[in-house]
Amino acid sequence: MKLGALVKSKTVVVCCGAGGVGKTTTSAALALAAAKEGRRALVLTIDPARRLAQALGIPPTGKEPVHIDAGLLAKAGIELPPGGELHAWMLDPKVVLEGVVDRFAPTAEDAAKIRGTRLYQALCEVVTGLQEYTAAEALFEFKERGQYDLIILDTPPSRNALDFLDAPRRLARFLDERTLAVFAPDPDKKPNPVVRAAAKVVQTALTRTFGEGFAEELSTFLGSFGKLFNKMRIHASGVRKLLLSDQAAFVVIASPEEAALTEAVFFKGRIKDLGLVAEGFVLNRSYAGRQDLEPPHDARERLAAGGETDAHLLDALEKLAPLANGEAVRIESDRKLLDELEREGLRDGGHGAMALPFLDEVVDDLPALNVLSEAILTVK
Amino acid sequence: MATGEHIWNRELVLVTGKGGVGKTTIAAALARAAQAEGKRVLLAEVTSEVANTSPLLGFFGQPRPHGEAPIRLDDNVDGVRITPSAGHRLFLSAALHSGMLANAAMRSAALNRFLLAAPAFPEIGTLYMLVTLLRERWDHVVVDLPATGHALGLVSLPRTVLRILPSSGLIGGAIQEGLDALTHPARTGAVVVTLPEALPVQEGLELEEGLKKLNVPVRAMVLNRMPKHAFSETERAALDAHMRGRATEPLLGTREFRRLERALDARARFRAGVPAGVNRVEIPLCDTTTDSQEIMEHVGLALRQVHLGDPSPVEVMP
Ligand SMILES: Nc1ncnc2c1ncn2[C@@H]1O[C@H](COP(=O)(O)OP(=O)(O)OP(=O)(O)O)[C@@H](O)[C@H]1O
Ligand SMILES: Nc1ncnc2c1ncn2[C@@H]1O[C@H](COP(=O)(O)OP(=O)(O)OP(=O)(O)O)[C@@H](O)[C@H]1O
Ligand SMILES: [Mg+2]
Ligand SMILES: [Mg+2]
Repeated sequence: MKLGALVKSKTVVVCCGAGGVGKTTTSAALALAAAKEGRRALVLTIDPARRLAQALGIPPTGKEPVHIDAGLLAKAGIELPPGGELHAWMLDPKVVLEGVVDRFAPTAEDAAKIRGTRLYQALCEVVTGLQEYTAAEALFEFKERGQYDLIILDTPPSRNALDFLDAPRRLARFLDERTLAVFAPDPDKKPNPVVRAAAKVVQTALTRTFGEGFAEELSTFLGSFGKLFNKMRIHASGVRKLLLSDQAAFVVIASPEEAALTEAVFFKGRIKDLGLVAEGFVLNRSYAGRQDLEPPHDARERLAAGGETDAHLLDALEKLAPLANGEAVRIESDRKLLDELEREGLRDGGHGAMALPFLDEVVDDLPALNVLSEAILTVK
Repeated sequence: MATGEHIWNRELVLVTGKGGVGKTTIAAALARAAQAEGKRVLLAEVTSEVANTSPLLGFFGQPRPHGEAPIRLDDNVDGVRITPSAGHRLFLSAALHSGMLANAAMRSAALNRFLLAAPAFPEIGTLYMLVTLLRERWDHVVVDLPATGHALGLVSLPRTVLRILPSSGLIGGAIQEGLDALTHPARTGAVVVTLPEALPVQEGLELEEGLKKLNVPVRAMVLNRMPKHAFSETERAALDAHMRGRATEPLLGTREFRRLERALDARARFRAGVPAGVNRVEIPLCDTTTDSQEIMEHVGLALRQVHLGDPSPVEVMP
C-alpha cells in the first residue's frame, strides 16, 4: 500500500485500529505528509496525548480548527510548498453538539429551549457514545465547508472505533421516521394505528422501567429535537455516502505488540461488513526496516581488539546481549507480520500493507511527526 | 490501609486502564489467584453484543460468547459477559414482570434501536446487569472494564442518570444501588493498570485521579510489563555514550536499550506519582513465552505474592 499516494489523491482518510496502536500519531503524520505535498490538510484528532496537542498548538475545547503556523513548522525544520496547509482540531463532543443545535435549530429561541432541557444537559455530560456520533457529524461539517483538500479522521480507541464506523447508519436508523413517531409523535400528524399501538407498548415499558414522568419528558425532548434530527439524518446518510465513495479510504493501523494480525483482520472484516473497503494496513512501530546492525558481541570484540579500556562499556555490551537477541527476534517477527499483513491487505480489493518505523523517542512533537511523514512519503 | 491483604480482597474488583495495558490478563490472573486461595469468583467481561470473541473467558476455555447467564468456568470460578442488551432484557423483564414480555418488547424494533442507539442507554444496560450480578453471592466479582474513556463514562454515568431519572423507577433505583456499590470503600476496589512508558503512566495517574473524583476507591495501581535488566548506572551511561558516538552502523539492541531506559524513567515517574493511600504493584515483563495463557498464569502467581502495604514492590516471576 502507498500511503503517500493516498494522501495525494483522497479527500478523506480514516485511521482505525485497536487501542494504543498509534491511530492519533499516524493521523497527524498523514496530515503533515499531505501538507508537504501541497494540499490543505485537516486532521480531526480524538483525545491526542496532551503533549502532542500542545506541540501542534491545539486547545482542548477550541471551536474551530487551528491552522498550524509556518513559524512553528519552520522551527521543526518543516517547510510547506505553496498551497500546503496543516490544520488540526481536537474533537470535543460537547462543542460539536452545540454547533449542531446552533446551526439546525430553526430560531435562536428554539436553540435556547433545547439547551435548557435537562436531557440535553445530561446528554452533553455523557461523553460515552457521543464521540462516535460527533466524529461523523464533524467530518460532514468540515467537508461541507470546502476549505480542505483532505481530512484525516482519527478514531476513538479500541473496538469503539467500530461504533464510529457504524454511527452514521445507527443514527440514520435511530432517526428513522418510524422510530421517532413512536417516541415523539408529531402532534400535527395523525399516526397510523400500528404506530399508535407500538407507541403505547413503548410508553408502558418506558414508564414502568424508568419511572413516572420520564416517558413524557423524553417525548418532549425528542419532540423539540425532532426538527434537528431530520437534518442530522440527512448528514448521517451524507457521511455514509462520502465514506462509500472512492474519495474516502480506510486504513487499519496495527502495532506489533498487540495480537496484531487478528485484530487488524477483525477491523478489516468489520469495515467490510459495513459495506466499505479497507485500503490496507499500516504496521506502526515496526522494527522490520533497519538492516546491517552490529551485534554487541562483535562490537565488544572489535573494541577490545582496538584497545578499548572502559571496562564498564565492555561489560555493558556483554549485558546488552539479551536485549539484542530480543531485538533480533522482533525484527524477524515484524518482517513476517508485515508479509502477512501485506497478504491479508490485498484481499477484497485492498492494497496491502506498509510499515512505519519505531522511533527512539515518544512521538509527541513536530520533528518526530516529520520523520514519520517522511517515511509515509518515501515508501516505494 | 490494612497491610498484608490481597489485592483482590474486595467484593467488586474493577480492572481498568488504557487499551492494551494488560487489563484482561490481570483480571483473569486475579481470578486465578483468588481461586487458588479458595475464593468463589465471578469473572465479568464488559463487552458489546458485536464482539464475537471473549478474550477474558477464553483464559478459562470459553473463547466464544455463550449466552447471557453466568456459566461455570472452573472450580469456584464462574464467568459472564456483560452486554448492554443483556442488561436491557434484564430490566425489561423485571419491569414487565415477565421474560416473555421483555423478549417481545426487545423485538420491538423501535425500542431496541432506541436502547442501543440513544447515548448512555447502552451503559445503563451494562450497569444494570452489573448491579444484578452483585446481588448474587460470589466472594469476588472481578470486572474487566473497557479502555479508559469508557470506564470513566461507566462510573460517571450514575450521577448523570439520577439527575434525569426518578430514583423511584426501576432503573433509577438500580442505578442508585450501583452508585452505592461503586463508591463503597469496603466493598469495591479499582485496580488501575498501566505500562512503563511515559504516556501510559501519565494517563494511568490521570485515570486514578478521575476515579477518585467520582469517589470510586482505587485500591492499587499496577505497573505491568516492567522489563528486567542487569546494567549498573555506570554501565548504562557508558553504553549510552557509546551508542551516541558510534561512527559505524548501529548496534543491534539499541532500540531495546532505549526502550529499557524509557521504561526506567517511566517507572520513576510512576513511583513518584502514585498518591499515598494507593498501593503500587509492579509486575515484570514475562519474556520467556509469547503464549498469553502462560503469561496469565505467571501473572497470577505473581499476584498471589502481592500483599498490599508491603514496603517493596514485587519483582517475582517464575
Ligand atoms: N512509530 C512510533 N514510534 C514510537 N512511538 C510511537 C510511534 N507511534 C506511536 N507512538 C507512541 O505510542 C503511543 C500511542 O500512540 P497514539 O496515541 O497515536 O495511539 P492511539 O492508537 O491513538 O491510542 P488510543 O487508542 O489510546 O487513542 C504514544 O505515546 C505515541 O507517541
Ligand atoms: N506481564 C506481562 N508480560 C508479558 N506480556 C504481557 C503481560 N501482561 C500482558 N501481556 C500481554 O500483553 C498483551 C495485552 O494484554 P491484554 O489483552 O490483557 O490487555 P488489555 O488491556 O485487556 O487490552 P484491551 O484494551 O485490548 O482489552 C497480551 O498479548 C498479553 O499476553
Ligand atoms: Mg488516539
Ligand atoms: Mg482486554
